[in-house]
Amino acid sequence: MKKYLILSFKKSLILFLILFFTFTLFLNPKISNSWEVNFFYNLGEKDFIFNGRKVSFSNEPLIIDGRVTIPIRDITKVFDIEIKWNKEERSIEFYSNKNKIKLFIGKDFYYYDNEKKSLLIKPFIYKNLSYIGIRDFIDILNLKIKWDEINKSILISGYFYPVTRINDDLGNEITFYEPPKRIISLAPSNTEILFSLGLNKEIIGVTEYCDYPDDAKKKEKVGGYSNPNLEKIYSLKPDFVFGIRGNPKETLINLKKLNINVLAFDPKNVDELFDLILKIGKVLDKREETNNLVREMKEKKDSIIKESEKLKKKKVYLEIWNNPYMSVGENTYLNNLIEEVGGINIAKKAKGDWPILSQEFIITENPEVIIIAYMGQNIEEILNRPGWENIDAVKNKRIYYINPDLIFRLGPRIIEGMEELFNLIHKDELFNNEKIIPLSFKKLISSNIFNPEKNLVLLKNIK
Amino acid sequence: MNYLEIKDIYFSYKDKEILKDINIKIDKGESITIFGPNGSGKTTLLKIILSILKPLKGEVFFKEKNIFEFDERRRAKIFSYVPQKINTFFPMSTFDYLILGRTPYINGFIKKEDREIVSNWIEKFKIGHLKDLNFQFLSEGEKQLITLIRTFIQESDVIILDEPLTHLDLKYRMKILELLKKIKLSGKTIISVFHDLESIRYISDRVILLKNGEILKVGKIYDIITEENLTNLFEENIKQILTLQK
Amino acid sequence: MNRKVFVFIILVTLIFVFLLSMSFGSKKYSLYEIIKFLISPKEGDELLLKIRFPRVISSFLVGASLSIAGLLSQTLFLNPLADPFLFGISSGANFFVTISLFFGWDLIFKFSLSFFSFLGALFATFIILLISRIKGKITPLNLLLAGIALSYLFSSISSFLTIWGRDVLNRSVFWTLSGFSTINMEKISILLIILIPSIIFSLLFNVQFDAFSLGEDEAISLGVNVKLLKFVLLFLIALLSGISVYVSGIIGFIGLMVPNLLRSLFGLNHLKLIPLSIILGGLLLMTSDLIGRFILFPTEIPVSIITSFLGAPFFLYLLFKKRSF
Repeated sequence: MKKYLILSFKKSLILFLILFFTFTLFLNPKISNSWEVNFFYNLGEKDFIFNGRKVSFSNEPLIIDGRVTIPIRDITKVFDIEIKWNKEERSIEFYSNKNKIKLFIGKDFYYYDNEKKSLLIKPFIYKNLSYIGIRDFIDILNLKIKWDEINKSILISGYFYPVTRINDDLGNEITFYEPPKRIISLAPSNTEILFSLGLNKEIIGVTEYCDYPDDAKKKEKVGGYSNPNLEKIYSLKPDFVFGIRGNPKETLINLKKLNINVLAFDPKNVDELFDLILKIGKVLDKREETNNLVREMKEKKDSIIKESEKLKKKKVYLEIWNNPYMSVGENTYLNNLIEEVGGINIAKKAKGDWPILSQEFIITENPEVIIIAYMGQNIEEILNRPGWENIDAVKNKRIYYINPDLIFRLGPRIIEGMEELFNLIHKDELFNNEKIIPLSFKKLISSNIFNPEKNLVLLKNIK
Repeated sequence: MNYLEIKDIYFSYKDKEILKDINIKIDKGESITIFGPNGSGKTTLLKIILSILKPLKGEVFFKEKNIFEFDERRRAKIFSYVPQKINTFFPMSTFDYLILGRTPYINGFIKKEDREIVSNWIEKFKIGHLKDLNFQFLSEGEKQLITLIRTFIQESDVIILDEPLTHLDLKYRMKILELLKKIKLSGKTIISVFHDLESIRYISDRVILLKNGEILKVGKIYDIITEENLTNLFEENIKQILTLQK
Repeated sequence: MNRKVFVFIILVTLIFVFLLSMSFGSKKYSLYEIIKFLISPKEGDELLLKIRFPRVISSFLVGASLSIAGLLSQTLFLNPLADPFLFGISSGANFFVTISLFFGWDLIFKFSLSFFSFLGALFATFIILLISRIKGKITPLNLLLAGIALSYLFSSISSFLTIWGRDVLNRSVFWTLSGFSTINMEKISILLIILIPSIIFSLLFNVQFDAFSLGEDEAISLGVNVKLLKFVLLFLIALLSGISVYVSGIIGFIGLMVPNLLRSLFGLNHLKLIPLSIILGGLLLMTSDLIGRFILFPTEIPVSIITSFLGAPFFLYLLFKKRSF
């Protein structure tokens, strides 16, 4: 019988402990996603510094019983928490992760869901603003507080996800109590947005057309974007489906009926794209990343516009199809992009968003630059089109090809598309064909965003 | 020499025998009628003579030559056709309708001579008032008459008529029969299908009794149209009708 | 309406519309410039020569082509409501277009889609002939049924490919919008190469077509080789409508309206109907193209949309017209 006791008691205990600890390691996914904040203030000052950003107090902090209290609205605003004030009860309600918190003016307890917990300082009203002790607030959020005596600053660390309520363009409103972890994208532009925020393993499904970045190609495919496969999507058990105008409405509605979170957007121009990215950032708990991304995109856009103002405006014909000849009309964001980079869109006066143009019109308008924005067209053919010989763009051989994905996908690469348009349109004036803007946005994206680093900012004593 | 010989014709369609062992010899200038109950194969026989249908067995000889070896134009110069129902799918003038009788003689384009021939016949038959009218809107009788006139324009030797009087009133019946009599007198050969014995008496030399696709009897009217034969043909007692005829 | 007056009116209108079409566009030309150009083309404006003139001429030629195809379709089907796209030609053309979009062949060369549509038109005709032959006799009913069956088959396969294929749906939308905006002399020469022999051929057969219009049995009795003629008719219809589809996509109603209008005035004489179809059909399409260029200038409206607009009142006219000659 003793033959069957292969391991001795001691050895099996060790094995068990090793297995146990290894196992527990996998049970704490939140370790990898902490939200570290630096919160610094000087007594008497009107501002505090939150993650490198200066935020003003609505009213000065007060010391009660030796503890610092600040207006509730200030602290909740920086954490992006929405509060609800109940006049009769004189209570303040908000969500902390999934838990419902209820505080009362003048009471030293609060409700954490149904649990009663105590506060160090009773919330009070001063100059019409509700105040709360900082320490209490941090405890409520289950964050850790550390005093730095040397720098006179507070370090708050831990994980916090503010409850996020988002409206989309389809009339949906969804409240997220935690960031989604199983995301399906229903458009190439959405996929690019998600990847640019540093997500990868969270993306569990994409459309067949999602081909950028490379990792997107390896993802599970759920169909096209005008015909995504409902059953496939459902079988992947997503907790968030990120849709777009162009997805069939019925499919999105059916997904909602199956209790899957669906948000679909319809950004019509670059500014709406920025809003979209910020919204998604909130949902995905990537506020810092999206703030940075949008800020960089805006800066880049503005610098391109500024550079283009130095250069002569050029007539541009953006050809999006060759049989019949089609271009982009006045109301499209592409028209705006062309104009912003210093081009004059010859199709501006044509009616409709994607107008068909006659050859006569194109020849009469005499564009200086022709840009081909679709596949399968070669430049030789355009040079040989009968009747087109006297067009400036043909005479000077200023016909270029642009990757359609850069301009037709309203995603992070639109700025790259904008830059490319700028470079093509002004190629004649750019010195030695060098790009005036030295840092290609592409490099910026790939280094910072697609391989995200934590944005930790530790500040020194401001004084 | 045999003028027109129909030899050993056999025709079936979808495993149903329609004509069997049809043998007829017709002389020049003869007027012969095929008589029989509905579905006995009369129209099919006419269509075979016109080469609209091809028999599975048997031939048709004209002046001892096999007509299936002729080209269609030559055949059209020999045989002309007045169908039971005249189709009018499109609007056209009566003149245009008549001039199509010249089709077998026209190479590519209608010539002045062709028009003259048609005008002559229009004058001869005093139908000038119909010349420019839309053929589609003429009465059935007028249509039949004009189609018969067209056979003159077609200058054919043999005229084939399929129940020409069926839809006509008395006036047009008389007109057509009169015209047919004249045609016979002018020496043309006539092969016809009639349902009424009176017409047959008026213009036919011989009658073919056709029953279920086979020839029951052939011969001169008075020999053939007997109570016994008719009863056999129609498998019904025809005595009463015979009495009416008298 | 007096026939001679009618002919006079359409000839005058033709000249008028021609001059108007030549003068209107992104660059406007005066009457003087146009006449000068017509007398000595080489010295004319480049735009006139290479773009404007080819466009106006091609709209005329395609209109002529479609009208004759329509005329012959009605003769073949012995039905005034037949049009060249009735028995599956358009679905055949669309089918080949969808296949080439599916496999990405539209990117081979610029007008490859148009070329495939032409092949599709011929292919459909061939298949229909085959089906009808198996059945035995090629009657209008057989042709129609075969055509309808083929239409359904082609369109279901096309739909399937559209859904399955990559981006086929989007690219096929562009195909339906084609018109005369990309025309050049090359396309016209191909058009002429097919059109002129077809017209000559049709004229040579004019009496045979007339006789055929009486019905098959009567035609045989008048000495027409009906088998051959049906084949000739089918082939001509396929060629003429196929080449029109190649040049400017599928344009409906011209093939239906023009012959009908002319038949009610001029009877069934193909010798008269063919040249008249050329003039009236050419005029109608040239006018439609002018309207398509003009209404939302400088945006082009595909000419097929304009002809569809004309089609509706035409059908109402058919409903209410008095049947007189």
